[in-house]
Order: sequence, then C-alpha cells, then structure tokens
Amino acid sequence: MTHTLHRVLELTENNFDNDIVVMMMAAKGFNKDQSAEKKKEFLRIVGNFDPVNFGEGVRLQLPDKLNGKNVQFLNEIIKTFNDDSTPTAVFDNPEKVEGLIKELKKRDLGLSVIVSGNVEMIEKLLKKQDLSMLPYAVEHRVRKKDDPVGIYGNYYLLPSLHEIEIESMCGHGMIPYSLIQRVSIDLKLGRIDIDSASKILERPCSCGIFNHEKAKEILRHIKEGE
Amino acid sequence: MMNRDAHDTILRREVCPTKAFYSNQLEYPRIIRQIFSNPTLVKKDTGVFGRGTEEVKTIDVTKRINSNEIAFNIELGRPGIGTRLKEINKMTKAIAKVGVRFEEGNPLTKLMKDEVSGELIDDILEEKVLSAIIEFTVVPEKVHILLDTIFQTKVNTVFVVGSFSLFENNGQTLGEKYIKQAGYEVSKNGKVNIGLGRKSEGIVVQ
Repeated sequence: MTHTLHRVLELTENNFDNDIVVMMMAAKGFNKDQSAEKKKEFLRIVGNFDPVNFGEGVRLQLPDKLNGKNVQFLNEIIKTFNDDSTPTAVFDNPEKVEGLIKELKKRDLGLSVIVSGNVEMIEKLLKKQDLSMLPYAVEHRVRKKDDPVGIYGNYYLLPSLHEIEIESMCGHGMIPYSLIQRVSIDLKLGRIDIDSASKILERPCSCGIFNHEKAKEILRHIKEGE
Repeated sequence: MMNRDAHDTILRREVCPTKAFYSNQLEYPRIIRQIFSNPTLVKKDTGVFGRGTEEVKTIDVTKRINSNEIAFNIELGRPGIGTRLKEINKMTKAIAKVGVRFEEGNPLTKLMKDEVSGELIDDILEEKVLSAIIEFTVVPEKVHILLDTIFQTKVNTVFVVGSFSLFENNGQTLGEKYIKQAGYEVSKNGKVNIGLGRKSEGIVVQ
C-alpha cells in the first residue's frame, strides 16, 4: 500500500479532519528532470500555511537542534533538495489546505500534488467555488465489511491499536513498536511529558508527516491508560 | 543484532557522536533486505524511494492505468512486523492464478521467475524485509475473486490491501463500485491525486 494510507487515524474518537497530508511528486521519465526548483517552491508555499510538520520526503539528515520545524529548518531542508526529493507536509485543519491548494493551482508548478485524509472532505474542498477542481484519482484501503482496522493475516503479531496509530504516522513505518512502548512507559511514570514523547517518537521518521498534534492526542490516551 | 533499519536510522540521525556505527556493503541475497527496508534508497529501476512505485501519486502524469482497469496493491509486513519473502511468495502465487497484470516497474515483479506463475526466485525466499508491496491491475470482472483469494491466503505476517482507480465524470471511481459489489468496503481515508501534474514539454514517452 502507499505511504499515508497506512494511517489508521480515523479510529481515534474525534474526527480525522485534523490530519491532512499534502505532498508533491515528480514522475521519472515524465517531469522529474529539473524538478528540484519546483519542489523548493512548493515547500516555501507550504511554509505560509502553518503546517504541523513538514519534510523533504525521505532524506532528513539534519541534527536534532533544528528539530523545532521553524523557518530556519524549512530553509535548511530546501537547501538539500534535488530532483529525487519529495516534499511533504501535514496540516491540522482543512482551511489551511484549501488555502494551499488555491495557491498551488494559481502557481501551476506542473508536478503532481497528492492530498491524503478524509476523502469526502477533500472532494468537498476541491469542489468549492473558488477552486472548482475535480480530483483525478483516489487510492483507498480495502477492507472486509464492518472492519474499521483493515489489517489482515496473522494479526495476533500486532501490539495495541494506539501503538499502531503512532507507528503508522511515519509513511515508511520507521517508528519501531519497541520505541513506542519505551516512551509509553516513561510517559506513564512521569519521566517525560507528552510534548517530549511526541518529539522522541518522530525521530526515526524521515518523511516529515508525523502529526505531532494527533500524536499528543493518542499519547494522552496512553498516559491515562485507555 | 541490530536490524538494518535501526542501523540506517542511527547513521541518518547522527545519533552516535563517535561514529562507532557504520554501514557496510551488503551482497546478494542479503542486499534484498536493504532494498525493501530502507526507504532512503532510490531504486535505479523505479526511480523512487521506498518499497514500491509511485502508484497513485503521479497517475495524472504517467496515465499508467486506464479508465477500465483497477489497480491493487498488497503490502505484507506492515504495520511494523516485517516479513520473509516466502510469505510474499504465497500471496503472489495465489493472485497470479486469478489472472492479474503485475506492475512491471515494481521491484518485487523483477524478482519473479515469471509473471504468469507469480513465483519468486528461490534464493531470496528466506530474506526478511520490513515490508514489500505487490502491485498489479485487474479488470473489474475479476475483483470479486481477487479479493476473496487475497483474504483467504494464509501468511505468517500481517498485510494491508489498497486500491486505486480514476474518477469518472459522475464523481465515482470504478474501484469503489466493484469492491462494494464484491462485498468489501473502502476506507474513509484515502490518497487523492488532485490532477495538477503534467508531462514536461518536449518529453516523448516510450
């Protein structure tokens, strides 16, 4: 399956419109050559719409001191871009994404833009009068009826749902369950607070779509033993 | 022993101040583990990072499926468990019998003895990877038997199934229609290609 589609965030009690991932991608043999500048421009535009998190896609190699995800961090990431880069960002409300898409449509950079989240919400957003866009294609997770999780095979190998929710926030599954379990223990024992826990959990993720706001919501459940 | 991904993560994040960790060159067949586990490697054949291809992400540019096809993918080993390739072999052989068209750019397809049987080459079957994605398309009439086959195949790992197709003029997709007709459902969350991409001028696609 693909990247953001592993997220099982629709299971959290509240709605999942506070977890929307936007990314830009070029296609090898079609528009990838000399695409780096367009991707840099994409991430600069993203920076104007207050993302919860953002990244270069896969090669985040910056030291932890820049982990505040501020403007300096954004500029440092942009310096590393090449034609293989895949800029990503995650947002916590649809209004920000609507503004971003409007701007991207106006700038017409010519590379593919993918929006992940509640499909119904994304479709409604695209149909709004000031955008009036039709989505091109959609990828869904396929499930058995009345099965909200959608994970099959030997699922007895899996840990708790909250751990899966956090693990799936890295598009490549790079947050190990062992780290989530260790952080959960430290959190319950009061050794770390929720903010620190979220930052520790993001560290193995290189794609920049770990949603800290959502992670904190899940970590609060873990801390309270739910 | 530290697993490959933990190792690469330590290198990337510069966790060790004395650089005691280093990455050595892997040889076949062990290098298969790195190819399917380390998302920071760009595959020479697919041109993308990660374990599969660009799937729906650049479909507005590549037009790699047409309006009467439905694309599916099965990722084994996710979330967070990993898998031996012999488990993937069980699934590729099972769905090959349904009559699917394996995605030629996908790294797993390149490891098959032949695409008709879906069988993977023998000397990689014991290799363990974080996950691998089987990608293929089918005609709508085969969706029912395909999904039944996937969900009835026994593997000793976990897996998830995804599907993508193009939006039709009525705002629906072929995939959703046939998946529901087959007695299954699609998730509320999804990945939407909003159609802003286009081929660069002067590019001739072979």
